[in-house]
Amino acid sequence: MRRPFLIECKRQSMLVMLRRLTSVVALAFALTGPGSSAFGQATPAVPEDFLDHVRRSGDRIHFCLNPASALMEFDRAVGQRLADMLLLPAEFNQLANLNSHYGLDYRITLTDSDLFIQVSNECDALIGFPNPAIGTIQEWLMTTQPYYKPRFVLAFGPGVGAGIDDLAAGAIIGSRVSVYADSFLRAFLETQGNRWQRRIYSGNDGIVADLASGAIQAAVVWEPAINLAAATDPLATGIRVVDQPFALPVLELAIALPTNQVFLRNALDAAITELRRGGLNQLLAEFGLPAE
Amino acid sequence: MRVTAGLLLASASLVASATFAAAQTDPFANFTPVTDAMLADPPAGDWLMWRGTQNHWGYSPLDQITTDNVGDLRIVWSRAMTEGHQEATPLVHDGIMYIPHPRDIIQALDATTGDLLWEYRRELPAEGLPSIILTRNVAIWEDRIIFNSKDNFLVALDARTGELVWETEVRGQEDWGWSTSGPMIANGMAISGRSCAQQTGTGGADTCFLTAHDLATGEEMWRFYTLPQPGEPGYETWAGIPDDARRHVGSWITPSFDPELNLVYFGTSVTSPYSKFYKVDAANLDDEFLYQTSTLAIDATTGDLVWYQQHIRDQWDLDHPFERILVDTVIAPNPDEVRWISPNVVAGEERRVLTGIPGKTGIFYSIDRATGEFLWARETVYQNVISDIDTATGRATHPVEMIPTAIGQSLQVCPPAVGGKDWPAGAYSPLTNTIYYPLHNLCMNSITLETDIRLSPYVLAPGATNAGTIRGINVETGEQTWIWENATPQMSLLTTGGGLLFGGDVNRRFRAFDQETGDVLWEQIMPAQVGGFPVSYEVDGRQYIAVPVGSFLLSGAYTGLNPDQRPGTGGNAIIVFALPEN
Repeated sequence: MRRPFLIECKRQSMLVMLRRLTSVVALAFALTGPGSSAFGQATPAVPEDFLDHVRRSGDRIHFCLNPASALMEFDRAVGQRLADMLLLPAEFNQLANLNSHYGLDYRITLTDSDLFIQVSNECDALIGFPNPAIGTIQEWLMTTQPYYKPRFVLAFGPGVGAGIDDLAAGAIIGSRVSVYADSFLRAFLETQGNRWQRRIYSGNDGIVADLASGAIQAAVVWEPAINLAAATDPLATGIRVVDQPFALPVLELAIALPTNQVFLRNALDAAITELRRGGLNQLLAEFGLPAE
Repeated sequence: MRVTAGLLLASASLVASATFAAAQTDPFANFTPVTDAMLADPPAGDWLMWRGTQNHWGYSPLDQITTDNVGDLRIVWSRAMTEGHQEATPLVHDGIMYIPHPRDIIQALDATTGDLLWEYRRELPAEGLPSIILTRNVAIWEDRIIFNSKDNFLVALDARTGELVWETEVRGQEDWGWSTSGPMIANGMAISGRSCAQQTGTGGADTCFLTAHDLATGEEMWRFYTLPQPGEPGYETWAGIPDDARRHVGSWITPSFDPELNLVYFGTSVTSPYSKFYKVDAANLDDEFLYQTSTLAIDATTGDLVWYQQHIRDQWDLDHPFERILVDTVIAPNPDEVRWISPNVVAGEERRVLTGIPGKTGIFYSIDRATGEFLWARETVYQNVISDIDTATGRATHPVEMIPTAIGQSLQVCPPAVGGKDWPAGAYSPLTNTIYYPLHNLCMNSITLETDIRLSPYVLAPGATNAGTIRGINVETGEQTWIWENATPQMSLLTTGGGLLFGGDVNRRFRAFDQETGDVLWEQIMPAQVGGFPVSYEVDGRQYIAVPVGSFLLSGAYTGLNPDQRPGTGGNAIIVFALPEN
């Protein structure tokens, strides 16, 4: 499923960048050794038997993908392009045992121990890692700069109106529980004297389905969920993002690496800069995802 | 070289002889089926269930090993176990030891040598299970070994051969959550609970339940939802939030059983997310969300709820599923130490109580186990999540400032999500009418994140100098009889008729204490963290002490407290001690 390498940056600058990044990556592998689990930071108490301690082939990047993410194929394409920029073959392994059933989600639903084992054994870098909106990530992980920053948005169901003033008093606004955006909605509703009702959902699937069917009139929702639902559900094409009457956060999708992979992180950061400078928007369009 | 070769030949001959001799003797020749009557009153030399008896005492009446001779204890055999998190309990019956390993491996061993008699390895699905799965205990009934498998079956094995007798699917394999503990056997039924879907996991509110299965056939006899379903009592306590958002009130420790009252006692876990503000408005933050963090008394025959007592209304992942200890005792709580005493308590009266520490707060309760009436409660470790308990009802009051209301709030929560008390079990001794508990002087510096409250980092509680303690609490008076402190957290305990208390710690030390004084009488350095549950049994007139070792789930939370100690991870094995034969 490798996609054509379409990058919009100028050929000259590309060649310069490739030379620089290739040397950086070679140094990274030489110094750290792929597959090393000596992360140097507090790690989960995982019995050593669970760790392979096998050095992966050093001439390629092994990415882990999150199969529970609605963006997994997009993430794979991003990983492939970043690897191409670094003149390295890419291999992809899917995380296992996620036990997640939210089709329009992005979360990684693994215990810290399981994540540690799989990242240690299966990959150099985990692509599709959502940076937490608040707090810190695991001590043994670090992240690149984000490669995609989709929004949370206020959206209306078909025929509801064009702005918040069109929303009738008592109308229901859906919201995903346990996302930072939900707290923004709650704060907004309080300032409005709770003129509208908030209904919580465990996943984006339910929000989009109820918006499309008219069961709820509005929702704060992760914008890619709308696009992806519309690709398969004709009713969802009637969902519209409206003018935002209050601020909502973006989700930062980045690449997570063990903390001993500093050089590789720097190389990926540089490649992400180039991707975001040219090529990302086309990739988003290919996958039907909203532009930032 | 010649000598070495000769020794090898001699050794080989001896091994061959031993194997041949063993083959000539049926190790199950003396096996007697385990009846309900035996389970209600086990033979002194057996260890027939998780905590030895249905009342969860963790007590063996064997008294060959005493405070006087415990210093002579020696290792008599040991045996490596499968890798994975170690929280196992061996059962012993008629000289046969049955022990669960991680990944649903069950072994039968000669309890005097550790020699393998049979092994069952369950073929688990490649997908859908976490990498690390553990089993605390199995059960025995008649000639069957019963356990809850990680692929959500209740399984019966032939105790003589390890062959599968029957299996019954209890819950869909696609649902998040497992049984990490085995069933309680009551009236020919296997009664058990399980964990269930967290907010991000598969499976909804209908995956949180207790079950009873007929042991002859595997047929499910009743089911009780620990997260009430539409139309059931308690459904209304969830502030009207959608069914899909009601999650995670499970029960992950083996219940206790009173055959006279025909009641089985479960404890329950918390909701997901733990903090309620993620789902409900300010007016409902402190609602009950039944049956979170409660004791449930269930009719063993029908599955009907007879009474419940909710201990806290959680916001911080302070589960209450732990062993419910059943004691018939005089009660006379000492008001100098017992902070909350019911006005209905008559000092000196005898009560059938459910007592001890059921949850992570470290609060010690005494409850009439026939009626659920609150009798008294006291604090043990430092805690800041309960400001008061209504002595008429047992209902806790929580400080308003400890109830999160928004993302980004910082709290120091004491005890933390690993307790106070956690799953390592306490033990009761009828010799002293005292329960001994492994308790931790810990707090967690938490912040409310996007998805839930952060459960770490763990720090020492205010004023504490040691993380680990063992405390004895008298069940009549509520007085703390002694406390023993240690830098590293303590693990599960065992009491014996010899006046001893056995227990290990995270830093590989396994000790014997004097029940009366708390004095350390004996210590053995083990090869790994003492993650399993110690037991005692007798074969051919010789008393044994057995304890599985190896690191356990979340042991990193403890090892991180003392970075100078490096007990290592893994190293699963069972170590067995006895006095010299002569």
